[in-house]
Amino acid sequence: MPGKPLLYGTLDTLVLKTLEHGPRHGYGIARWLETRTDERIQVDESSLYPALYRMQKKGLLASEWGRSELDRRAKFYRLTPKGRKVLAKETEEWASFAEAVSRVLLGSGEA
Amino acid sequence: MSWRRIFRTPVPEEVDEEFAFHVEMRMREYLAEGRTLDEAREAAVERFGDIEEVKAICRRLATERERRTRMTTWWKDFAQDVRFGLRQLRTRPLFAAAAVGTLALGIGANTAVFSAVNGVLLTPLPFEEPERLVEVRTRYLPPSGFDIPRFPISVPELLDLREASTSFEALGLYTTGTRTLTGTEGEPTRVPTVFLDRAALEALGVEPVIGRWFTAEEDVPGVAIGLIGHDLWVTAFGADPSIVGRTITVDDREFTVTGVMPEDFALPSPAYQIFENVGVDPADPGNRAGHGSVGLGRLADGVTMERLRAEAEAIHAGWAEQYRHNVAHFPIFERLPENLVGADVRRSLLVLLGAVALVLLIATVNVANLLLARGERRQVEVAVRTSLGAARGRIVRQLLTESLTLAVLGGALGLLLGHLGLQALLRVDPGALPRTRHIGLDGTVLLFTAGVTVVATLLFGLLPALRAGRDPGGELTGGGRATSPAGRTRFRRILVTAEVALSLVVVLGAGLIGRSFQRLTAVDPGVEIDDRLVFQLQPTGAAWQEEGALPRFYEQLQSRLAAIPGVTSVAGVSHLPLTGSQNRNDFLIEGRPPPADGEPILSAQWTAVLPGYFRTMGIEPLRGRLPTEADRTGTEPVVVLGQSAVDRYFAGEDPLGARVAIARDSVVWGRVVGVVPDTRTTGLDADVIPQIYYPYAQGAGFVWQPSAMYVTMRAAVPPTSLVAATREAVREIAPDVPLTGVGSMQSVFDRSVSRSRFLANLLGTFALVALALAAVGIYGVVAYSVSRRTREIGIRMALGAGRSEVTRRVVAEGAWPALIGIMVGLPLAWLATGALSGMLYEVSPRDPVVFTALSLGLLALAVLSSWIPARRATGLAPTEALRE
Repeated sequence: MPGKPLLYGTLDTLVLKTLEHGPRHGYGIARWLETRTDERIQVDESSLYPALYRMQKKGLLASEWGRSELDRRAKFYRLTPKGRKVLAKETEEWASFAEAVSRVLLGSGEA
Repeated sequence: MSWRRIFRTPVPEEVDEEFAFHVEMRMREYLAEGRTLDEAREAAVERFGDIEEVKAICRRLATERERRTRMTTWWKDFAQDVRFGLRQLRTRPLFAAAAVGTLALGIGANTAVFSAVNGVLLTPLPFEEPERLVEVRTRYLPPSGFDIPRFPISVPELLDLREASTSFEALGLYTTGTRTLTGTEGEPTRVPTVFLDRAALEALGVEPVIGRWFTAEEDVPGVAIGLIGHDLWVTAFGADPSIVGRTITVDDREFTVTGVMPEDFALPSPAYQIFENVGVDPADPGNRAGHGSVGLGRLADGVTMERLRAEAEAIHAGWAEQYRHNVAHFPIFERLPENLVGADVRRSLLVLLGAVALVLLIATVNVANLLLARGERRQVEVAVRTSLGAARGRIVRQLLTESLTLAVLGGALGLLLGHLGLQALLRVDPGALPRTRHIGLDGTVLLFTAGVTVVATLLFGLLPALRAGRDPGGELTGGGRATSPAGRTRFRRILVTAEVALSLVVVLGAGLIGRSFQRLTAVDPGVEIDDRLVFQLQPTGAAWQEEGALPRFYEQLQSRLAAIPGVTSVAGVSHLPLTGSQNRNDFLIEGRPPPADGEPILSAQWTAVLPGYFRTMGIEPLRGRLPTEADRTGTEPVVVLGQSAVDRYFAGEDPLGARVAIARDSVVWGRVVGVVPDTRTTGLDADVIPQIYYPYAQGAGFVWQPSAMYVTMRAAVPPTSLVAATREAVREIAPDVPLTGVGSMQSVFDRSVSRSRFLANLLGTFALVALALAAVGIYGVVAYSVSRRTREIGIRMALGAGRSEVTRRVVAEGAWPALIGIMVGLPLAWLATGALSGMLYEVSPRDPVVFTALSLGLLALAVLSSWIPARRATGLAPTEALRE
């Protein structure tokens, strides 16, 4: 059953992150995110592929057909330079957002 | 990788395959968990939700992306090609200048002619549904004698027609004249005026900019009411809207302005700026024989000209019953649009359009030749690019883009040249074309020029581009049959032949028109043109109606003007030669019975002259004497006949002593005292109208006394230098009488041939351009072929061939295709010049002298163009040539 719904837009950034160190196919991206978050985040296939296609249209990703680990034909995605830049920017914004929220929620609550 | 690019799977299949892979991998997971195959598949697919919808979303996104990439690539390629093309042109400035210049000439000529066609023929007339507007005149066909195909109609005839005809929605009439406008700042001005009735306004259907038309009730004889033109409203009244309802002073009378016509309204021409009521009383419409009006009507819906003409025939038959005399006038109908523009103008413009189309073809042939020559030099470049992976289509596209760049540069320059050139020509000859106000650079002209540019690009650029792309690999290895030297040369020769043939057509057309113009201006107008100054006066107003006032005025004026230093003699005439007057009046010869039904009516142009007119204009009497100051009121009325009046009415007999009189109720006889040679009043190419001259001073009572007269002055100095003194003199004697049309007689002459001259000049220019292009083209082809063969020529000469022999061989290379071109061109020209048959004066459209002379001339030009490069090549010492 799908996990907690992700905040809008976060999926895109996560996908970009998964490609930081090399190209992956769509299934590989989903599995990597699931393993990395100890199954806490379940990637919704109906959002994943549209996200991939959207980001490719915007020029953040490029795709190429290749061979999977099991020697089957699969479409691999990789980051473009533009994609890398966007990843860096989104990561920084997320960090400062998370810090701000933590400060409120995890603080003492006093005035 | 490149395999995949060529055999791309289309988008839908790709998405299916990608999703199928993902589903399969998920299934493996579930199978590993222990589910069955079906459970695993179901669970895997379920993860996608509505998998088909997701696939659809992805497909759409992918297609959009692809489309965008394709477009971006296309534009990038295009920009790159344009930049490359421009760079190429910069490295070869001579080639660029030649190509751009040639194209500018070809395209510019088309722009010029098309903007004239656009303004004159295509811009809609300022009336509603102008095709339904018809002008009514008559054809004068007395049983024997004259046949004047186009003559005014009389008011009673028109009123009868209006009553009897059912073909018109509205039928009115108009006539023209001139009025003097006073009371505005500045001098009194003469304004060409249209006199029309309410029905004519209704037929035209033009809404005034402000104000209204006048009503039929307001159209009363003796009252002046009507509209003014837009230009007059602006210049004389400062576009003051309160003019509506005000009165202005016209011919010393009050004229009530009811409205202002729109800016582009022009009938019969933009010069006419007052539209006054005609003042016809239906109860007393005047003499049926007084033909001075033109009918103006709007055809009812669905009425054709055939039906109208058939009806008119029937109506006229009824007149023949009712009125025994005065039925020699048959109503004729012409469409107003054709009258305003004129069939001759239309034909001239179409001829010019044909000529510039040919010039454009010649220009594109030249540029194609240039490109072919360039193409050969670039074959190695093309071959290398192909071997590096460029697709043939891409190369063709690139070459075409280079051609397009060339064409756009040429087109822009041509647009400028064509527009400026035409404007300059129109300034020199303003009367040459009607509706010049509409001639300019508007959207249609720009669009046309763009279209011509594209067509030119395809014509000259497509073939070289395709040829360059063909078998490029062969070039590198030294083979390549399609672009073999022999094939290339033969192709270029064919182009030269085509070029020469087309040039011949243009040149012959121009030659015929030029010869026609020459014949026209050689016609003797009957008066001397040099050193004469003319102007027109029309004293109007009550003060001048006093008996004897006008003759006294003109007498005074004559002596005052004669006193100006530089003036040899002064006189005057009511109809100046070459001004297009077609006035005639019926007359009687004493002793002959008035013509019965069916007999020829005597008709001539009765012209008033001031004493000394014939001497002033250089007309020598043939017999008898000329009128003098002694011929005045109180003495016997005398007349002088023109030669053709004598030929026609006195066949062989001596007319001196006979008496003639105007045919009207009160007959006053005048004695013929002299005969003079004919003068051409209407124009050089029109038939001579028989003339009867009478002394102005005897006009009242004998014939009539026109208030408007042309004053003619013979000068010992350039006539235009006397203008200021002349104005001064007139102002002294009669300050409120405006002068119009001040100019030399030469300018009157020029104006009368202005249309023919315009066409001859323009066509002549295009013929020169065609000749220049053909000459340059032949030179280019021969020079290029010679440059390729300098070595061969050197060998020949080293082996003992004489210089002239080698030169002759080379010249033949250019001369032979030219000769064939002339032979091909002659039958083409034969056909084409048939279109000129209605436009030539005393010249046959297949005039053998013109055809022979110009064909030989073109051949000589071709030989010369081939000789120059030949001479230069053979001038090289053989050792130098061999070293090349």
